[in-house]
Amino acid sequence: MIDGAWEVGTGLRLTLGAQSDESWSGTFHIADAAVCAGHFPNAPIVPAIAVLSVVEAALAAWRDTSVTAWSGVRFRAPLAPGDTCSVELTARPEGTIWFDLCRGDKAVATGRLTTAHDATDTEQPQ
Amino acid sequence: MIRPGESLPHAGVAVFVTEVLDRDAKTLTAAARIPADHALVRDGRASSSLLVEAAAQAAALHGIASLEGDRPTPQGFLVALPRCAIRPAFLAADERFEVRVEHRRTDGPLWRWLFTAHQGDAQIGEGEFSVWSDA
Repeated sequence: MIDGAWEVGTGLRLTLGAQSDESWSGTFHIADAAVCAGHFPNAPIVPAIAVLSVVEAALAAWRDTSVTAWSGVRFRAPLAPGDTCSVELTARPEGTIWFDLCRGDKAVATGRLTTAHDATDTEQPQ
Repeated sequence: MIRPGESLPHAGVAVFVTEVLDRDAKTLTAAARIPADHALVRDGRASSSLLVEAAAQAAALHGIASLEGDRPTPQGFLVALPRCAIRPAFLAADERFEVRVEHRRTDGPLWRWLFTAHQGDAQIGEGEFSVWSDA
């Protein structure tokens, strides 16, 4: 991990924009097709699980914790190598965290997550 | 006999399902693992959220096995995860787990599934997902 930047996966970098107690924002860039390998041959599309991994990495960077549950997640638009997206996490009063990923003004993924309370689950690869 | 590597539209490290263990009209149970050389594996482990991909592939195999005649393999995309619980947070790469999917209903191009995942006797995930398919 470089200050304010994380390699979520091969060719997949997350960068911090700003954070507070209530929110975290940044961007992630898909530098190459490694995350799309085999998904699918001749038609690379970033798998939806990569989006989840980006959100998890942002959560770990913000609150040093991990996801225990996802709810209401919608994958609204596919991503391809070369794309850059914004990532926003917002803490809600009821205890869940909402996330939004956008490519420009186009929604890519939205949803909610619940975090772990047990610190033994919080290790995140650097 | 369903061979995941030959039946799925995925290839190489994108193939998580290794073997179909059981299947009936509504369900499919498969063995799976997250390949150690997958781009999202770091330091030999990956987020447990990746088991959702294994569940989606199991669902795809159920659909492919149900096709009649010589139809081309349909393309499917994970479009929604209404709920999903995972524990622990990480899975070791290349370690076997089992995923079971149950088809709930189809609404036009949207296929809705329930899933559970186990590693040994421990449940590591469960939830519901939707796939858009051109099947």
